[in-house]
Amino acid sequence: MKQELLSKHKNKIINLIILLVAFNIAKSIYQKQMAAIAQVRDQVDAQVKNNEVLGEISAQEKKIGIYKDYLNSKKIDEVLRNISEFAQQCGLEVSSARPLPKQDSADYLVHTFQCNLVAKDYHAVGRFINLIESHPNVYTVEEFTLRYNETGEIALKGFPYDLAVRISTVFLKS
Amino acid sequence: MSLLGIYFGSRFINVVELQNKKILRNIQIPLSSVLAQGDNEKIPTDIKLVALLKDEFRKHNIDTKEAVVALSGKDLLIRTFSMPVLPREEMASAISFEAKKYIPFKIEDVVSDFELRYDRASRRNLVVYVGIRKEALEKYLSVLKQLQLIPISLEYSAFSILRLLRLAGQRDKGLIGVVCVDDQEEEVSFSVLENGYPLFSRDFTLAADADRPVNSPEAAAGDISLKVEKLRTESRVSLDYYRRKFPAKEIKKAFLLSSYESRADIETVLRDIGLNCSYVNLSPIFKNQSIPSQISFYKAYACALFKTIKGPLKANLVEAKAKLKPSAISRLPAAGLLSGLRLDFRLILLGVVFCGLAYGYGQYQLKPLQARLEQLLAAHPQVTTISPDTAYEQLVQIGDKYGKKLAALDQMVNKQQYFTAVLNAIPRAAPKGLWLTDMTFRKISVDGGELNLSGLAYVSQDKVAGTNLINTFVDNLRQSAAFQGSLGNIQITSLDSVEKDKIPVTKFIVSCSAKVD
Repeated sequence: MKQELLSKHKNKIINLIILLVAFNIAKSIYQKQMAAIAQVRDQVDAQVKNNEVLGEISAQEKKIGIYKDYLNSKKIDEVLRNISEFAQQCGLEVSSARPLPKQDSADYLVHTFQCNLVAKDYHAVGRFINLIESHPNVYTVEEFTLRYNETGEIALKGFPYDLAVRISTVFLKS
Repeated sequence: MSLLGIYFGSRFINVVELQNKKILRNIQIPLSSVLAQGDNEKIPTDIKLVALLKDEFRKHNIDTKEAVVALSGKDLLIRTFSMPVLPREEMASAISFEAKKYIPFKIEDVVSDFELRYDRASRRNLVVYVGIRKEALEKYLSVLKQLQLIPISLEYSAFSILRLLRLAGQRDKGLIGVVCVDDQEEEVSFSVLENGYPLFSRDFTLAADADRPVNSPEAAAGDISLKVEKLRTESRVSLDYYRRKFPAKEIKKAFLLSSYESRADIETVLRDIGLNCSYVNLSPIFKNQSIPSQISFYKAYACALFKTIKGPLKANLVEAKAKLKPSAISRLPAAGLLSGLRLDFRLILLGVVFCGLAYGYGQYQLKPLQARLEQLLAAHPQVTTISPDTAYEQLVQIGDKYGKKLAALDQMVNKQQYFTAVLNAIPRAAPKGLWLTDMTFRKISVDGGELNLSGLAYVSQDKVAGTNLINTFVDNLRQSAAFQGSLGNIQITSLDSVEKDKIPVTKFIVSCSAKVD
């Protein structure tokens, strides 16, 4: 009975099986395509984020490059000569000037100079410090001590102000 | 690839070896020579036939392995009838049942195949039923097997020869009649085709007595008038039968295939019964080839064209026999179930369309994304110090590092504590009666430091006045722009009453540092 029933409907059954197999193949193709789409979509998202970060890094790199060109354009042996010239321009006398040990970090190289000077008046000191700080080579006043000394030998020569100043300048490493 | 065409006629066996359309070899063997071979009556005719054919094949170096066989109408059952439109799975058994009416044998003893064509006018299926008695089929297949030939098809010779009509350039569109008169075999086949599909076919012999020995003096001399009369009578019978069966299907055109010598007589006879036939001259097909101008040879040649030119029917008795052969598999119930399966190609097409749609939809979505990805890769900012394969997390770390470095540089160059402004502000903040003796500045960070101011305030008679001067100084400093922010935390850290040059003064120390929030 079962066999007769099967025999009678065998064509319908086989065609239905074909249709189901086709559906399964189509479903499998669809799923694979969707997985591929999801993968490409993830790649697109990742690439968008990467490009954003890379864009920022690129801009930062350019800016750092500009800073580097700016900071490293000076020569280290010019520093003491400049300080001496500034003192002369402002009427200060240099008692001593010497470089201190340089500080080396991952990104920077800091050269520091200790200078002792005597000044006739307070305003001369102000002008001297102004010349240092406004110089394009970027000099920084790290320490500054100004003492009024009216009794010393130098004071008697008309230079009552003792000035000790520590000046630094920075070089950017590659 | 060569192919053998073998026509087993009533009096002759014709064999043609063909490669494409070129005849390699052809043999004609009179059946009388089979009968005459040896006088031993105990040897069966089939064995004599095989021996003779083997001998001829050897003589002519025929080594082709595939063969198509054509048989005359006396071996075959060709019937045409109509059937109502039925489901395909029921059609085979219904045709078998219907065919019982038209054949004089038990249906179980017949190997058959059929071909259908839907007739729009009658809304019924036209059926061409081709059958052969199993016994006869076995005989021919046995001969082929002994000759070590693989049978490709077994055909009705009257249909095989229709290939030559196509080869001769005659169109088989519309309703056409074909009369084929074989002088040698004394056989005539009368067929009517509609657009190449056989509607009707009938064979008859012109021999006065079919049992008469072919080599008798009477047969050799031939009774022309008797044959002509028989041709007229049988042709009229065939035509009348056709007209009764298909009254609406009038034959528009008729072709005559016969030897050139007898064509005039035959045309006259057919014209007499109302059938105007055009003689088809087949000789041009065989120009430059020395072959006999005989219809039985043409039939063998037409068989051998099996693979080159399509015949009017696809029905194949060899395949039908193979289907009948009980195999170990077909005895299984499952195999029985599988036999006769008919796939619905519309569903297969639907399945293919489903798969195509799934693929197409995926591609439709994928393509723009791939294009976008390519665009993004092309727009990839070039950073010389970073590899293009660097992961996002590493890029973020590098970005942070660069950001911090840049912030430090910004601070160093643009936002550092300038001491000039402080030096400028201090004398402005000092009131009269207060002077500075010592000033110490130490930078703690890029934008901040610590400043200590030491000095003396003139006291006069009132000690409070000295303190007021210092407070005024501190207030003035606090109001000064240079002391905002990084030096905004201003405090008096010490006050001492001392004498300077015997004058009472207040010694003070003021400390300035960054404000702590």
